[in-house]
Amino acid sequence: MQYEARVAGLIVVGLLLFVFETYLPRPIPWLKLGLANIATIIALYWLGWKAALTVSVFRILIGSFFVGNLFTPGFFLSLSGGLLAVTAMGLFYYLRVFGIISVSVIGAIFHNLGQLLVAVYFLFKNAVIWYLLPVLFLAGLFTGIVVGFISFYLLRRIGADFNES
Amino acid sequence: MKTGLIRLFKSGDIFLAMFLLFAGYWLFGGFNPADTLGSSALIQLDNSIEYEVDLKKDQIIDLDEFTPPVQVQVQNNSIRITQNDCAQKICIKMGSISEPGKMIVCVPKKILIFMPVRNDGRGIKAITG
Repeated sequence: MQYEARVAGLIVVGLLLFVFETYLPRPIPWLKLGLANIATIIALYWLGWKAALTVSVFRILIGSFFVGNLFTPGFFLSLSGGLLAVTAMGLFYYLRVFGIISVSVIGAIFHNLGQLLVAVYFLFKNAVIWYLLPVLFLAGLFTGIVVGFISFYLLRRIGADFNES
Repeated sequence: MKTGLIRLFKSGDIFLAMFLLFAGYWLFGGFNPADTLGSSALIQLDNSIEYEVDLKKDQIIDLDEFTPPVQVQVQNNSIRITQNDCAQKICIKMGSISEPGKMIVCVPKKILIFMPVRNDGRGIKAITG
């Protein structure tokens, strides 16, 4: 029961961060910091990959429902990015040779890559979209570092900074 | 299962950092789009190119495929979306584009406005219409 309660709590945290981020100014209008990913990273390090996947998918589902874009193209962009990010982060985490910053950066880059793949091959079917890749790569690097640091300090704060070899 | 502290950095990070450095170099060095195929922009609606717009001619285009119509403005060799009733209006906030490889995207309405790009062997072939 404690596990389920923690997963549910992290979904709520992810949703709150998702809403909070909509109020932050964006230097590049179509780029987000990805603060909601903090909840996913905490779930990964605290409760394991399955919990991270659950937090990510439910956060996207409920968040999309709240903003009214459930099952729209925007929803599928978020879902593809989220799934690829949590898969890549899980892989890098279980390799045990990468620090939390690297895991977070990989998550952010793969999140952007997942969105690009869906945009290029399903939504727009136009390879010109690939020209967004350098900017998204750089953005993923930056946001991944920021999110990684915040996740690290939150994990220490909640006393969950032990579950790693 | 208390086995150790979570670490900000570990030994494998150096390899990832090197890989990302090379990836970044390749992306920014090899992804520079070539010159345009003339001063025109293409407007793609629902996966097909519907408009080829001459950027030398200042004009306002109403995309009547949408209700209310999405308004596109061409001014000073650049193009932008000025009116759209989509929720977040990110496409409007993206501003105007005038260079090859740049684009304006409206995800909810599947609108893509881009400058056609010629493949010079380094970049990717990115014109569909």
